[in-house]
Amino acid sequence: MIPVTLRDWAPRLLLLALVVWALYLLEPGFHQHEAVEAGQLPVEELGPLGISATLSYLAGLATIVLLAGFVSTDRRRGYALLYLSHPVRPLALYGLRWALAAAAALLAALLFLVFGQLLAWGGFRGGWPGLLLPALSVLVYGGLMATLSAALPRGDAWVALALFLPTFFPQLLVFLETALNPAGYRLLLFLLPPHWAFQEVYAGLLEGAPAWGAAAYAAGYGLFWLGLGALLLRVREWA
Amino acid sequence: MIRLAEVVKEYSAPPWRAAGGRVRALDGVSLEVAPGTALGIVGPNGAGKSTLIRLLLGYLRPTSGEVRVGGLHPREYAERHGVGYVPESVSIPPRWTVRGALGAFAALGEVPDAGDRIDRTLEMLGLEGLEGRRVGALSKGNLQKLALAQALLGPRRLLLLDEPLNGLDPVWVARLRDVLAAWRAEDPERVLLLVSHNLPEVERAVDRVAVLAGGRIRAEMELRAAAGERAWRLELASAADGAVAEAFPGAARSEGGAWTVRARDEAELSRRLAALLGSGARVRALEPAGAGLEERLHRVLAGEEGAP
Repeated sequence: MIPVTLRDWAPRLLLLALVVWALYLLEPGFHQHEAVEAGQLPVEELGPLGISATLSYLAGLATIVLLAGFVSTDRRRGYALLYLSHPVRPLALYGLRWALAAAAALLAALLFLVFGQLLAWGGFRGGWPGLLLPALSVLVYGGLMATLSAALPRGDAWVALALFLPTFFPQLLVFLETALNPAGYRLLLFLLPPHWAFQEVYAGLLEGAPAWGAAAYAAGYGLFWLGLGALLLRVREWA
Repeated sequence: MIRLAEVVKEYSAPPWRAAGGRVRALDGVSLEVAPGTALGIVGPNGAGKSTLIRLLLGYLRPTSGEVRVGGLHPREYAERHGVGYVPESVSIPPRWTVRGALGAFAALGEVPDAGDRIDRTLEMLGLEGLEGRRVGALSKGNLQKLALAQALLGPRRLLLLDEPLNGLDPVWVARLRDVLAAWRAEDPERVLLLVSHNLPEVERAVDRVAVLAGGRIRAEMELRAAAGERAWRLELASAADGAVAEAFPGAARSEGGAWTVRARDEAELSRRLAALLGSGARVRALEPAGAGLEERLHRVLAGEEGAP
């Protein structure tokens, strides 16, 4: 099924290429002539680990794009009726697609790390530990996509994108903090992807002291939703 | 092979549709299908036929009662052994090609010698020239043939066909009859469940029919008589009455002037017919006495005939 899945993904991979290009243009570490906001560390001092935040965005977006409708479309359009009449477990079929998407997202991040540096700086300066962030991003957004796609009839990727938005626009969280009561805001933060954990891991990477606690929290968050998605695959009816 | 015991299936409307309520699609269905059986399931629209098939695949779970296939929960059976299945409404990704689709289904089913089997199945269903065509560009009939092809691809012991004749032209309806007969002949333990509104074809393809209406089995009919005979409607252009009775002992003349004759199988039918033709008779038409099933179905639905 791997070649079939990869062929089916062709249009999405093109979309992903556009995302890669856009992120390359947006990555400040690759465009050091750009202005640096007051109070922020100048990007040239961040080194190759500085681009790990962009690697995380790329991996998260790639996961969402590749997993869009990966269960819900099959269920809604009736493809699953034929697939699952063959001797295959839903968990194996959709688990394989999930794993492929995760591998592709990580590969995209890896290629971005290497070729981005080669293109922008004319040489590779390292930054391998920075791949921790995209790995967490794949787990978090892959887990969310697993649950959303198994639970919703459509729109799973749009919901995941909405949850991804505070990554780019932290002002959204500030707005929600003022709009909600403290208990509601805490609950929302608990349910939303753990952006604070990503920030702690990122800061830890830059300081050379990985924030393993935050990383474990983010991984646990992703694994929780992944497990819930797997459970839904088992218990939900297919017709 | 298949056992349903007092199976009830209710569908609930989503909570946001307050007026939806619950719909009882199956209402205490009990059914046993032994290995080697070809069972037809007939009944009016909304009788619960497709629900029954989807329960047998484990796509739905019964609200109460028990469903077993090969002694297992249906989903477990499908995941271990696979089931040949053609749904009422066939849906295959439109960008796939015909061969690519069969390749994907073969990969899912871990079909041995997939390339050879795909070639043979394409030929069997007349899809050889369409291998490279995209599924989205297929006619309804060819899409139906592709669905049949994927169902027949693997060495399955259970074939569930939900309106498989949809979109097929009369030539292919007849060819499918032969395909199904050949499939059954390969392994005498194989079980075929055929849901169709085409009663003459159901009568030709199966041994037994269950009439489903209002979510209940209203009747089960053996189409092969105890002696293993089937009835045929024979219309003659000319023949002496004695010649018919001699070739087909027990032949009965019906109101329209046609004869109802009986034979154990097509070989015996051909032999007796040859004897009749040898006596100088000329045949105008010969067909399975399909009206028999149709009439019996109407009688069952009108409440005049019940379960035996």
